[in-house]
Order: sequence, then C-alpha cells, then structure tokens
Amino acid sequence: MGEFRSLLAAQLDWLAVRVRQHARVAGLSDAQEDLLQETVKIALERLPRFFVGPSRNESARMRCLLLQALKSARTNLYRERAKTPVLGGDAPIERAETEDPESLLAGEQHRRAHLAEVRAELSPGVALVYLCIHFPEEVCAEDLRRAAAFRGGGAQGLARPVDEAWSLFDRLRTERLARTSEAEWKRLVVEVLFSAAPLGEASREDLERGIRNVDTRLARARAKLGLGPSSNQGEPT
Amino acid sequence: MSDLREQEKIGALLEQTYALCGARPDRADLLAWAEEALALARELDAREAPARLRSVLEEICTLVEAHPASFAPAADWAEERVPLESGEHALILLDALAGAPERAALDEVEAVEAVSLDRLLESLPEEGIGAADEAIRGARTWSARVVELFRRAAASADTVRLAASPEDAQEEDYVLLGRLDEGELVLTRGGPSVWVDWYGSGAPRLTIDGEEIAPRPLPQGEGRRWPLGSKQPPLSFRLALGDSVLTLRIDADAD
Repeated sequence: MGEFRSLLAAQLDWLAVRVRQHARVAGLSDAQEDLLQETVKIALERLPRFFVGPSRNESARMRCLLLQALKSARTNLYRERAKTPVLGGDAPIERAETEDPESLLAGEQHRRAHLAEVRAELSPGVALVYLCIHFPEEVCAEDLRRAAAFRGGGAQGLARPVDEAWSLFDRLRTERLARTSEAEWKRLVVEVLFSAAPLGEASREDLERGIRNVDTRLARARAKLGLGPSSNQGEPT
Repeated sequence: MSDLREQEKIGALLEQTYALCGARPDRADLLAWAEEALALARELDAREAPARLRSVLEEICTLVEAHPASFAPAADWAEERVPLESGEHALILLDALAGAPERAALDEVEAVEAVSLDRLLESLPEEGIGAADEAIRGARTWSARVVELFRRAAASADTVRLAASPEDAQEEDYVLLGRLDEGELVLTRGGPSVWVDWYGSGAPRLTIDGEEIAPRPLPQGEGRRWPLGSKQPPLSFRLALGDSVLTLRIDADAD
C-alpha cells in the first residue's frame, strides 16, 4: 500500500465523522461525498509542503492537514454553490450601500456562508449566544438542542428545558425583537438561556452573571471567526 | 520578547503539541503545556505578530481540534480563563481547548457508513499521489538521510586522504532541511565537504549551536552557502530571515 493511501486509510473513519459534522451544521448535508472528496484532493495537493522536514507524530500531522483541508473544502463548496466569490467567514458582513438586486443577492450569500461558518466553527454554546444576539431570526430549535446537549469543558448547557427555552425565545423574537433595544434584547436572551425563572423574575445576580457570560461568549466567537474586537456587542451588520 | 525568540519558543511548543496528540498526557503536564501556550498567545495579542507566528498558533489550535480526546482534560482550565482574556489569539486557543470534550464525544459516538478508499482515490491524479508518497517517505527517512550524508562525507575524506578514488570524492548528495517563506534550506555534500545552502531571496543568517556562521554566495544562482567545516551532529540550526526563523536539530543518530 502506498504511503499516502496508508495514512489516509488510518484516518478515514475519523475524517468521515468530521465531514458529516461539518456538512450537517453548515447546511451541506446533501454534499457530504463532495465535501469528503474535495477535502482529500486539497490534502493531497498540500501534503508535499506540509510534510517537509523530519518526521514527527505522523498521524497527528495527517489529521492536522486533513482538518485544515476540510475547512478549505467547505469554503470551496460554498463558493461553487454561490457561483460568486464569498468573503468567507473571516469577514464581517456589511450591508450593501445600494440595495440593488445583485447586491442583495450577494449579501444574502455572504450571510448564509457566515451562518454556516458560525455553526461549524463555534462550539454549540458559543454559537447559540452569537446567533441569538446577532442573528436572532436565524436561531432554530436545533441550535438550542446542541447547546443543551453539550456540557463538557465547564459549559453550562441551558438553564431551562430545551422545548421551554425554544418556545420562549420564539415568542420573544416574534413579539418583542422589533421594538427592543440592543441592551434589552441581550437581557432577554440572558433570561431565556441562563435563568430558569419566569420571564422578568430572574435575580439581579443571575442577570449580571448571564450578561458577563454572554459577553465572554461573544468575544470568543468574534476571535474564532476572525472578526476582531467589537466596541459594543451589538449586531455586526 | 523578540520575534526570533518568540518563534523559537513557539516552535518548541509546536513540537510539544505534536507529542501530546493521540496520547493521554498526565493532567499536570497538559496544564503546563496549556499555560505556556496561553502565555505565547498573549504575547501575540500584545502587539501585531508576524503572520508566520500566527500560522503556527493556528496549527497548534488545529491539532487541538483534531485530537480533542488528548486535550479534553484541560477544558475546565480553559473555561475558567476565558472570562479573564480579551485577546484574539488567547481566546482562539482557549476556545479550542474548551470545545475539546464536545468534539471528543462526537468523535466517539458518531459512526458513519464505511467509505470506499478505492473510490475516494480513483479520481485523484496519480502523479499527485506519487508526490505525496515521496514526501511522506522523505519525512520518515529524513534523520537517516542526514546522518548518512555526514557518514559519506567522513568516508569520502578518508578516501581523499588515501587518494584511492578521487571520483568518489566529487560525488554530491543533499537533503532538504526545510522551507522558509519561498526559499529552501538544503544540506549539501560535495565529496568530503558539507554545506548548508539557501536557495531563495533575501540575506538569511545561519547560527549553528549559537555561533553565527559567515556565508558565501552560492556557486550558482541566488542564495547563500555556509560551510560546516569539521562540525558533526548533534547540531542545532537556526536560520533567520527578516521576522521569520526556522529552527532544526540534527541528532547524532537516526531515529
């Protein structure tokens, strides 16, 4: 068996799982095979440069290469689907100065790509807070379910049962979002996610702790997405 | 801390990270590594760091993401520090560590249908696969080839002294040591002599075991050549070019 084939074979099950995860959260579930194929193609192209020098933990090196290739492959698939270059998840989304049909379409494509990047790159709890604050209209029950299921690394999950939190969030988004200030919306998000008390009855301590938690997660999200620090934690659009 | 000193530290940290991947490190060792990684990330945040430094930290974070089970025991440690940090690089590192348990759990729980390796490879170009195979073989045999090059130089010196085979004394061979920016650093033997050659632009400086070596121009083309004289492994190389640095250690014996 050739060297590349052998190293790839050893990582293939792991890679297939990661491809499925990335495809699912990035809305590319129908393109898993393409994503896997593109990933391996990119890894093959980059390998000679990546493997220069002395041997060191070969399987770790291969995984690192495959994971970086997977991220590039995901971007490539977006570009292919959009048929227009996207700025990628690294760039903040900016509203077009003139809202003609082309710029609106491009803006929507960028937005979709950014949302997919958020769900793929951020841990569920961080992604949920980022979406709730910056893209509340895009939050779905699955986002809450993923965050609730993840309790590793000190993450808190959700203070309420998922169905209750989702129902409350959906109602607030419909009834209050349009007429609520940024600061007030953040407080409502904190109440939904980090307090089990009825709406409006969260303790001051819970609210303060929750707001610190939200700010911390937003900072993590912005760092991970390469968006740079924000002077306020409001909508980046 | 100077850029070059930082690069040396982060290079050593990268080596440590590779060693942790796939292992089940002792928690104390893992936290010591994490403290060091966070300290470097903070250094990068303290000023505008060179792109090469940032890419190494990115590689470290990718390794953490790719081997979450090895780094998961540091997740609580990372979560505790997240609220205290505001720098971009520090947060990226802590985020990768904090997310490790989830990634590890997903890697363990999820099962996928078997993927056909043959089918996956059949659309790839044969020459690409050949180049990859060669690169992997090159990495695996790198230490042995370097040691062999020095051995052949020594043997050639003996041959020259005996004047038995002057043709052999003119034999040349080389090993690619590494790449820095767009240039290549190559260990070259010509008969009994061993040089380090730089094929690329710029005026890099080479230090061996802390001693800066005076360069000569390459016999042909753009670049620099440093004669090693009587130096023998083990040797520590440090090539500095602008704000980039490449460090390498050549052991006396192959792995």
